[in-house]
Amino acid sequence: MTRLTVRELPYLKALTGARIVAGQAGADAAVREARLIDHLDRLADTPAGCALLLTTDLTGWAVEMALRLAWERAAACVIAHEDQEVLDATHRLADRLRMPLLLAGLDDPVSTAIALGMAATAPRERRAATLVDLAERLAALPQKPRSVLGLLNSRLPGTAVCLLTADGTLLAGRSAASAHGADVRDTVPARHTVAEGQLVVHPVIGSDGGVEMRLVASLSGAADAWADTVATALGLAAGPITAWAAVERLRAERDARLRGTLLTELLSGTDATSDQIASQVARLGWRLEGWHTGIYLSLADPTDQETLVARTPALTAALAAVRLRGVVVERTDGWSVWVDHLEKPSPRTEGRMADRLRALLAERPAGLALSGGIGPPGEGPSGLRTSLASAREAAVLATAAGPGHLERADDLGMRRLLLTPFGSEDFRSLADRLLAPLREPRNRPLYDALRQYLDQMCSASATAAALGVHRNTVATRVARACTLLGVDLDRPDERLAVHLACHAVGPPVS
Amino acid sequence: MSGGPVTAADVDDFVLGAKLLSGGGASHGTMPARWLRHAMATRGDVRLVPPGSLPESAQCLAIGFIGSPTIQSEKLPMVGQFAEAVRVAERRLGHEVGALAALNAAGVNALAPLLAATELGLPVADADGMGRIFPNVERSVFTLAGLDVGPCTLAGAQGDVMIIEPAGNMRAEALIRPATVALGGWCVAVLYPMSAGLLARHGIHGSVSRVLDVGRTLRRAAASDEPRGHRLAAGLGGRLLASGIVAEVHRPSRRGFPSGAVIVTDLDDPDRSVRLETQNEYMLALADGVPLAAVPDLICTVDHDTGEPVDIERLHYGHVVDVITLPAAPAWHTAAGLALAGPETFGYALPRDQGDR
Amino acid sequence: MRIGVDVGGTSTDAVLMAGGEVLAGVKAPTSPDVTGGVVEALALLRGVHRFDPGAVQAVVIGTTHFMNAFVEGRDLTRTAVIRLGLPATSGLPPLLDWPERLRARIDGGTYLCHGGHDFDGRPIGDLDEEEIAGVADDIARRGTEAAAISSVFSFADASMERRVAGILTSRLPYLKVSLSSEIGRIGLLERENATTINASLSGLAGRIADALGAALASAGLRAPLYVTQNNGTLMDVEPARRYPVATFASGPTNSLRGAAFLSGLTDCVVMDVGGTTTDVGVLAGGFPQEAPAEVTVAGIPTNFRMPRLLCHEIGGGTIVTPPRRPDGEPAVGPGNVGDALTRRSVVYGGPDLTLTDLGVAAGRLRLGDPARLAEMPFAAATLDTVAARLLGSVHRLRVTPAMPPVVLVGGGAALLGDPGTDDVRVVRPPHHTIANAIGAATAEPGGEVERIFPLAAGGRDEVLERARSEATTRAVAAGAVPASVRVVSVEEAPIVYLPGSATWVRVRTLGALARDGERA
Repeated sequence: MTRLTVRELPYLKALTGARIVAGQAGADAAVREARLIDHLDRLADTPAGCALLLTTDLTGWAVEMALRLAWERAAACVIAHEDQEVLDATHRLADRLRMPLLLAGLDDPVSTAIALGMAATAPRERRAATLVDLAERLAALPQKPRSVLGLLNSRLPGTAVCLLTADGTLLAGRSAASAHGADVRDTVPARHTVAEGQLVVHPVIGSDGGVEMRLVASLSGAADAWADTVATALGLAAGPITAWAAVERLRAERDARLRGTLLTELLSGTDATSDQIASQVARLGWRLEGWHTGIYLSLADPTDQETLVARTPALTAALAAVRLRGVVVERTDGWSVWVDHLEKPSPRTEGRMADRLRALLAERPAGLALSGGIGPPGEGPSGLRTSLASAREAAVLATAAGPGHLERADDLGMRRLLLTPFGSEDFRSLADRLLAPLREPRNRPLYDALRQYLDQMCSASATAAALGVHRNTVATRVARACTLLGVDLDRPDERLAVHLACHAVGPPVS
Repeated sequence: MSGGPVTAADVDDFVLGAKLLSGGGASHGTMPARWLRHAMATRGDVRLVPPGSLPESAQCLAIGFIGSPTIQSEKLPMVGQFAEAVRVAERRLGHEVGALAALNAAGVNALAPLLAATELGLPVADADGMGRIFPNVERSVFTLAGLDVGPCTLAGAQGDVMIIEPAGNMRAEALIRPATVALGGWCVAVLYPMSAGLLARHGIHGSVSRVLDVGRTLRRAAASDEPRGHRLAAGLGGRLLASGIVAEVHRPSRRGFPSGAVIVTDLDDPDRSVRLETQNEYMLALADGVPLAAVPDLICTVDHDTGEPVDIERLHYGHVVDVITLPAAPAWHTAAGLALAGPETFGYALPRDQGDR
Repeated sequence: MRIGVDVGGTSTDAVLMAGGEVLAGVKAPTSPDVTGGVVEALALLRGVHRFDPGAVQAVVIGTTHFMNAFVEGRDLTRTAVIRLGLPATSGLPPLLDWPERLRARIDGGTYLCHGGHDFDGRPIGDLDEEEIAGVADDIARRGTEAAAISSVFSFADASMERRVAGILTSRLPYLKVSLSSEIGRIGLLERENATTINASLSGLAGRIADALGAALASAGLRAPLYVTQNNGTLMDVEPARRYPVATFASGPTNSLRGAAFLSGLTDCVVMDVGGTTTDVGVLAGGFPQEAPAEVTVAGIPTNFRMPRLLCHEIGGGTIVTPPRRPDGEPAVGPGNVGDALTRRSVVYGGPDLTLTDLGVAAGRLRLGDPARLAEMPFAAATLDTVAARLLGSVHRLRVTPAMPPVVLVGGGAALLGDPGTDDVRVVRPPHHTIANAIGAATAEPGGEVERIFPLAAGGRDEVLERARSEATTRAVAAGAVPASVRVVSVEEAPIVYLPGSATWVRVRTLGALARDGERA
């Protein structure tokens, strides 16, 4: 069984605020009992291993004599009142004798001596008492990190405790203890020796079995016995922390479900919103009036709802960081986001928002591989609906291009066709509309040339042969057709869209 | 060295010796020395005689100064001030005085019996009541012997004389101090009237001539190139505690225990240092927490380079000094002696088995 | 603009300063009549840096004129020494321990009279006007022209001295009276001696002040003239006519204060390397540390305080005996060419090898004709040894555990080279050769008052207040603008061996000169 050492004395409640000012070399000596010394005569018969408390009238020269007599009697240490002025010479004597000299607030030396004596004779009982006290108080606390950490920091003297996220960010407790946080990677309870003393680590495991948070305590000095106590204390605190984390998670998920359900109802509804929906919207703080810009962010690798929900706060923060503050709602494969405006945003504002979002997506916000679509601004609940729907469509195309891409609904142009099912009425009418500039009779040759060119797999010579014209004529007519339509045949999705449109409106006139 | 006259030529040595024997107490400027030289120059030498050579029934008085030397340097003495005190005392006692003794042959008090002798033409008995400076008149070997301090005759510098008859020696200080203030801040004190026989039996013999011897030893040591330290200590009949550099000087703080501390680091061994506890004089010397010397023994500091005694007020960082201890008269090392003037009586509760090193 | 002049044993230094900057500094040899050296220094100054004499706002001189005059003993005024203290003080008569030569010159009669005060302010006895009248008659009969009046504890209560002065001068209007209460400091004999010396200079003081004024006028300066006092403050030359002893010991103080100004350090050791000696002093909190012992002038104990100085008999003029063998070491001293440095040093064409010559050989000084010097490979090493020895003595002057920095000043400071070590930082500021003149130029008017107060009376605050206001008055009398006067130190010490009864206190003030817009 390990004995109480001089080094641990400053951690005792009875000696709170005490410091070892000299003779540190002897601080690992064991303390067997404590004696109150009010006259140097009393030192004549002190047993070995005694902690000697000097009353306030023993000052200056008497402290030096006490150090000497303590050394002769193999005492553990000398404790004097902290108001003492300790001369350099006294420091040096204590260092030379390797006799620890402590200064403490000895306002009630008798009680201190008794408490010290009890701690010395029964270290295990003392530690048990500390832990029982801690456990009782934990049970009475609200299960919040701040309360738990506050309790640990006040009941574990000489120790600074903090709660860190898995990657080392401080969640609660003393920042002094988090200095090494980024380096701590333990997945099981562990201890480390560092420059300032020791670190005691207790990981908090999440529902997925991985480390979600860590409790880290920083101790100065190297007393093993105290580190044991601290480790047990952290273990006791881990329970309430884990419970708190689980409750927080459930709450987040529930909130997410609520948001998702509400949004679905809004998107599918009509212009008139029911009273029930209106009150739910109000409670969540959503604003349906005014202008909105809808955004859809889809995950490259779809994942489960739980993970999605867990990522929402970080994603919201990332969006806010680029001044895209708005409502973020989880969907099946990503998030719907909308930003409110007081008045209709100018094209420049729209453009800048899109630029910021594009830049953000390229950087993998919150560690997510996302592609996105951004719709045109819309007014009121119906405008919100339209904008979100356009954004969703645009996101489809962006996803096809790969993570980190952003498509603006307004920029889709011909590629909007790719979102509409081929052969449907919508497709036909959309294709008609998009090809309208070429449908005028005088542009017929241009249309034919374009159609033939696409059918001939973009071979100018084959097209020339099929139409019976010169190659150059083909090139000129195709170019003119593209200009009229505003398409770029070098882009595969635009080429495809034009081709499909042509087929939808009917065969070429040969 | 009793028996020879003390002349004006001896004054410098006498004053030097008195300064060393004051144990670090404040120096008193040059006025007392000039007074003595002037007195001897105008009225002649002083006869110093062993107490045993006086007829047993001859009456003696112990003479000293009480009060502030600083004030004495302003309100200078009156001509015949000693004579006045002694005559009033004789009237009260009902007999004439045959010889003068020193209350304490140390510090400025050592000059008092010589000055009195020049005014009265009486011999000075080579003995005193303390052997060193003590702050209270009752701390004397005469008290240990059960002799009365009173009647005490105090003469101020403007002609007032007071007789105080305390009810017991322990009451003397309480009455003498306010009287001294009333007399202007300092006075000549004539105390402990006794027969020469009692003086010879209880007084500390050779104290006055010792002052001269110490002064001569110091002067020779200062003039020579010999290393000081041990040889000087031996020459003075004492022990060297350390030769070193003053490393720390702590004046007493107003609150709490009025003891100051001086740390002297050994010249040859910087790890060794001696701690000197001070009040008006040096009280206690410790090294490594072990007491080396304590009151009633005398502790003093001598400038290692110049051989001059250094008082506590003049000590400063970097001063190189020899710390020397001279044993107190044997009467002080009895149980009664320690109860009257031991370390405990000055506030130093040394452990019993070490209090008498 | 201010001009500071310091008259030393060997050289008279002058400095021109404006707004805290040194514009020019010169050295001239001190002349036997002293004034001549001052005139030459002022002329040199004008030659080095043209300035408009009308723009100079003050000339401050630190001089030994007055002390020299007394020590030489010529033209002293017979003085009646009057002491108020009977029935006390009769045991030690006035003029005790004066050297016969000087006593014979100035003794105009000694008079012990009733009066004086106790430490707590009670009178020892009343003045006896008839007694004083008798003294006046005797003074008139003997034809004595000056009187020094000293009363017990007069620095605490000057009323009796003033009354006696009043009685004497009303009967003898020509009598020049010095009061010990104006000279201050506890210790009756020493204060009485200082007062007597002061009175004996009554005739001379006026003449010296006039000569200094003429020296200024001949340099075209119409600025007010000030002289530096023992404690480093300055006073208008007019009060100096009446209290010339206040200027006696200002030389070393000026050097220390100049070192403080040049180095910007308030806590340091100052080493002034002169021609004949090197004086080492200490600055603590900006003030020179006082020597514990009192100063004796011509063997007479006085209560003048000088800075605590360690004096080494080593200077620029110390004679060096070259080594007999080529690899041997030279002998430094004993012997010094004194103020004949510029005639007798080898580098000036003289026969004696001095430390200055070694300094030129080692490239540390540039003066005289280096071609006259033989090969001296030992020059630098010898100078470094001297420097190390001087530095070694510094630790004895410490007032704190840490080693303070050392400031080198004086004409020979450059001789020591660069002797700093890891433990001791050594600084040799620019203009170090004229540090003493700078000390004079940067002096401020100040006042100093000592008091004893009995604690029982509970009058500590009142006594301190009175002391402060009187110290302020003294500063103003010295030339300070009243609003500029500030208390710079209050020292208190219990009166020992009278425990609980009384405490001694000393208050010092400093101010700024009137008509001086700049603070140096």
